[in-house]
Amino acid sequence: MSETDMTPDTGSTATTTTAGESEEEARAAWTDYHAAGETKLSVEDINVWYGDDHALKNVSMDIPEESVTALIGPSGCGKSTFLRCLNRMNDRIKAARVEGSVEVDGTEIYHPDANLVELRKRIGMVFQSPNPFPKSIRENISYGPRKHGEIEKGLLARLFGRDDTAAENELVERALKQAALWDEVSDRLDDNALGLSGGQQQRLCIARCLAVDPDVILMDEPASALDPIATSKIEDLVEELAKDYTVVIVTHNMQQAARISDQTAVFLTGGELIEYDDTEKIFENPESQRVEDYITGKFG
Amino acid sequence: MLHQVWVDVQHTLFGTDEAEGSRLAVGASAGMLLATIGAFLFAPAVALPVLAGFVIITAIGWITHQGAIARLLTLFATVLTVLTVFLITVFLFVSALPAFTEHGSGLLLVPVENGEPRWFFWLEAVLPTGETFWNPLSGAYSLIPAIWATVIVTFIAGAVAIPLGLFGALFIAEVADDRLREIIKPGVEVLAGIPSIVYGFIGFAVLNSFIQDSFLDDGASFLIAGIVVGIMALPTIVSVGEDALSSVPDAMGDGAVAMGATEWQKMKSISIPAAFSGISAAVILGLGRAIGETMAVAAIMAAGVDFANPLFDVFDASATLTSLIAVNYGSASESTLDVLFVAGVMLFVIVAGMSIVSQYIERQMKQKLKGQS
Repeated sequence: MSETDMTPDTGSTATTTTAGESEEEARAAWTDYHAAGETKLSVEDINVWYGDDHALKNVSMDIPEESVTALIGPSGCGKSTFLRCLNRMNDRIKAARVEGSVEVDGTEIYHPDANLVELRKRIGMVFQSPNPFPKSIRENISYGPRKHGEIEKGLLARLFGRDDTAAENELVERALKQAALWDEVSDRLDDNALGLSGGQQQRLCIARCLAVDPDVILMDEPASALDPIATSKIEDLVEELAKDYTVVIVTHNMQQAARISDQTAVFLTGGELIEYDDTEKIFENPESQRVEDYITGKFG
Repeated sequence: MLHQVWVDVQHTLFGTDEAEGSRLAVGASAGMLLATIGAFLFAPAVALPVLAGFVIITAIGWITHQGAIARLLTLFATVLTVLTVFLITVFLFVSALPAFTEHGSGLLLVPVENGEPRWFFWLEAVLPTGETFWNPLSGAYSLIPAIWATVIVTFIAGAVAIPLGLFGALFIAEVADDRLREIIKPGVEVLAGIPSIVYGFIGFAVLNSFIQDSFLDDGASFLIAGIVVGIMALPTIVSVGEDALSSVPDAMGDGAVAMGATEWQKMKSISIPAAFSGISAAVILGLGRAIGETMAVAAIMAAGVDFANPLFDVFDASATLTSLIAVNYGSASESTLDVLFVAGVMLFVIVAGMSIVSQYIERQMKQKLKGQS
């Protein structure tokens, strides 16, 4: 009796959801994907709600160290939300609620005792539009270390017999060289950072982030506000950084993702991770039809 | 040159989208306006009918050429405002002139004994003295005690309002969540609109009697006046300071927090420095209000004009520049009135100067945040 009941049922499901089934197959084909290299960040079933809006649905992925992982997808697909989960910046949005697990080197960052300051020292972030502080270039770079008490200078510090001016100079030079900005600004370190061009400001923000000595750098469309030349400099820099750091970059520019990333995760509308695989695979032979449509410009 | 002026006038009066007949409408309306002013000045008896004519012609013009007439009316309103302020300023300075010429700065600023200015009077003021500084009947017209009273009241008001105001602004801008902010901010701004006599009365009735009952029997002192004026200035400082803090782009704060700065470090090292000039403007505006405050001070300290004795005695009392005018002008003789106008000029210059400084600072801040400094 159950047999007869079941048959028409499954039949109807099969006819209405062929696309869905192939979606499932596509998903099955990549869920076991494990990128080459040690896993740096392990994300497990993360969900985000903004009020009643379910912005990110059950996203799981492992991000390997010393590589570039690109997150692509149309606007509002949840890729930036996902990025902000990785350093708990969503905590600052009162309406946001995050569930799930993110581990950095096996340590849970959503643990109630997690130290946000330590977390954000390890996981730096570069924002969509350059946001240097209205201070000198030098102060921008040394901002993080000064806040963390690693660099003390000024009258009070001298009073206590400590003056890290030399260490600061060293740090500023190191960070600016890493961000390929040293040659352009070395003669005006005490000028206001807001006087730099947009591309320089963004590289300054990257340098500022490197000065804290993070393991992971999150970049939220770092080149979207920049002209093509400044963009290509940022791209070169990202590839260079991937030798030592784990870079996770959100971009809406698919060519950019194809050029600079090792792995690509595709988010489409609805906050779902549709496919995650080696960048080559995603761009040449994606499992999901929707991803192929998106990549080839038929959708989004 | 003259031609250029005429072109500019036409441009201002008629704009660039001139319609058929609008020149006639504007011309008729403007002509009637001038006629009304002329009638008002030289033939007041016929002013009313001419005014009615202006209203009717303007109303007709409003129906037929609304754009052109509206343009004329905005121009008229602006000219009227600017002219009024200008004339008041001129009148104030002209009225103060006789006292300046008659008493000279020596007598105005420094007490005089036997025709000699006593430059070191302030040394005596520290010590008990029977000196009379303000007694129009016997010709003592020194404004110095009133200026000193203004300084003391402003100082106390600042000591009350600046710390409270800045921390309040910081709370609203940086600590409170959006829902709380939406309640507190308008609430604070409503407080700024309460008439000052209400504050003064509350200060007199509540604060004064409380202090008299609990601590001192003096009452009616600089301290109470300063506290009340400080509370009055508080909403201004909170509101303008909060605007300054909120205008710091969120991205800057996000950047700091994303680097592992705590929220308090972010406020201290990013928000406050970036908003510093706006916060200074808030403080200056608030203090300007304290200096210019009249009714609250007059209600609390309707005392005579005398130095605090000793100078820093906040429990003493004296009229300030503003309350001196308010209390005395009704019963003032011609020569006293002239001196009061000098007090008016002083207030005008101080408050206008502070307003200019605060506007300058605010402009600096906007440029700084745009990266043009």
